[in-house]
Amino acid sequence: MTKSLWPKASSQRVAKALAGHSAIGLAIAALLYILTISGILSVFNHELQRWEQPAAPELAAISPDAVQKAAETVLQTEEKLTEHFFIQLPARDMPRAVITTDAQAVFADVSGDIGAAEHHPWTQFVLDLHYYLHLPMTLGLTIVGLLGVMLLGAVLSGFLAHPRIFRDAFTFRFNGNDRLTQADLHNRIGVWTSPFIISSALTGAMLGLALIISIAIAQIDYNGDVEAVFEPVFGEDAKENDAPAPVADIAAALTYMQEAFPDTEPVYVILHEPMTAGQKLQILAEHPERLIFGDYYNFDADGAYLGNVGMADGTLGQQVAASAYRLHFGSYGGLPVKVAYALFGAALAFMISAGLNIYFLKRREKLRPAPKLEAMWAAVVWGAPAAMLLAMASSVAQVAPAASLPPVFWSGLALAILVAAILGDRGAVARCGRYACAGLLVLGLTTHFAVNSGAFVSPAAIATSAFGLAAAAALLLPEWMSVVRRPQGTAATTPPRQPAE
Amino acid sequence: MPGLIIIIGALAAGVAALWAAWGRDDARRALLLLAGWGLIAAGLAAWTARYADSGFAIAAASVIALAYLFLAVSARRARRLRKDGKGGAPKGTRAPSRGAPPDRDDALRASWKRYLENGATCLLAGPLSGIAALLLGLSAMKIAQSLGANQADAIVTAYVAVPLLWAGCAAYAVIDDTLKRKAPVLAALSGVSALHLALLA
Repeated sequence: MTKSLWPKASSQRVAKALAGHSAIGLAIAALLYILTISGILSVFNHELQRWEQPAAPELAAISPDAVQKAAETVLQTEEKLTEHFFIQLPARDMPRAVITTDAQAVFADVSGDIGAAEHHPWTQFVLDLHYYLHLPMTLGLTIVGLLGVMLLGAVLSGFLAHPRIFRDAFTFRFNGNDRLTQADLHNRIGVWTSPFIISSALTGAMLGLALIISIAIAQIDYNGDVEAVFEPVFGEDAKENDAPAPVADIAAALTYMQEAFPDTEPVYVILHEPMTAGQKLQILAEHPERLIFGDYYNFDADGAYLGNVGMADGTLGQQVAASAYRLHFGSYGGLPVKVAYALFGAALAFMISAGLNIYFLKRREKLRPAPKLEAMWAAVVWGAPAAMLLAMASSVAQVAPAASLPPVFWSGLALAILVAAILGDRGAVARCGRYACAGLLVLGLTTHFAVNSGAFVSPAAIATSAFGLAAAAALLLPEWMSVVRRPQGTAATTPPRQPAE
Repeated sequence: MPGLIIIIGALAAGVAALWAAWGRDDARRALLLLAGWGLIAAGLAAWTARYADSGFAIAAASVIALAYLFLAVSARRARRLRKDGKGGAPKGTRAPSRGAPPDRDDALRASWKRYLENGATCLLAGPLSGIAALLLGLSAMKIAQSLGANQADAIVTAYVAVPLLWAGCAAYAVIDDTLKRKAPVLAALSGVSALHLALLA
């Protein structure tokens, strides 16, 4: 027998680490699960935005002059001078031009004419759930960041609790013991998914805790000025000068970008304090093959180039900070990377569920079963996606305004947990949850078709709708398989297994 | 494109070598481990050289996806053995670890002392670890500054260090079952960092 390279772990240390791993898992499981499934959807937020509004004008590119025309048109219609002004330029996975001010967000077509208002309430609901859990911004960001920290802690304690996790990395024991099967699935998937979990948890924690850390840094280095903390990394804010001025020459800046930086892809025009003498023009341009979300290219009001902030070629710190977002959301390698992120996210959701199943099976082995708690956990596993789909169906059917989607989700989930606690039957709750998910998905897709029948076959809608239908079929597949496999004339004797099983 | 296929092939061969290595206990195990990690490292380096930093991330994602395929093969084998009535690990592979010994729950009875200890552990792993990590992270930022680091680098050091340190402190707080030890350790970490920051103020 060959000797392992790793130092032998004492059984006491392993037991302590396992207890710690379980404690962290139990403490964060439900919220982490909700963050994970909302994260999977957030990866496809561009696709979902397009699907929600399939009739919006789509364009491969827009000329600098058309952008200038759209900007001037929108700014002239504003009753009150906006402080923030963004133009989203068409990109590969989001071929739309959107002009956003403090008061409105509208589409522009290829000639710079203004179209309908942008409206994707359900995608925004999903993003807000993932970013803030629908809590007030700072509190929500901090809690989400804390969940990222605890996930990192769970990974660390998980590795300490399983000293042979690498040697057993491909080994399964399907020997009839449910707990060992669940443990194998949890550990094997966990060890291989750990690079993704660590990077997502760390970047999520960085994004979530950045404000709190910046507040602390501001106290010791910047006399409490939090905005000043961000300046060395993300560039300085414009100096305000409220004197009226014409709209900055956006067309000249975009033309300069095309000529001077042909390898970059401008994705945003940002105008700080527009139509004032202090207005500052920035073009955010993506750098293909880089993890950074892009670099800011600064221009004066006449469109003369002033220099870049340095997210692409500045200090290592700037490049690391600029890479956190795309690394977290998997938006750096096109659709294949997004699909991979969805797969890894599903694996994480599966692991969370398997982790809780191990806990419940242990309790059963110790003759301390908790059927109500098991049913309530099944309600979280299936109730959370079902409640998200209920919000989607309500939004698409235009029966629930944007502001009511978070209450729809949280009250739907709370009701599911309450009903599960009363029923106390995990199998029944899981089965009902799966049916609810499939039914609500089909309802949402059908309503979407009815509302947007004219644009149903558009590239913005057809693939996403087809995937949704496939997902609904996949949800019903286990039930259908069990019916097909059941011998004629016999009733089912075992309840359907939990998702992680 | 051919270059990319070679890189993916190297990554797949690397994962396959690890799959083969971790299923055996003979002398070739070390060789397979070396070959496996070597091929994966080479694949990661080649993809990074070709597609910059996003290449590294895509290569890492590919390794995970390839490992899932081998996991599926292992699971299928184990299921087939189970169906054949053999159970356990597939033939020719080591028996998996028996798992950890019974957890602390077995040794502890539910009592008010236990609930108090659990509450204290929650406080230590959450807010108190957070304070310790924040102070340590700010201290790390100050050390970076004193070593001549650019201000952006120093700030980002704190952004990265605080979550990692918090996770480490939280994991320590839940793993160490002696309250009388872990509380002073976290307090000492916070105290030393606070003193460092106070001296620099």
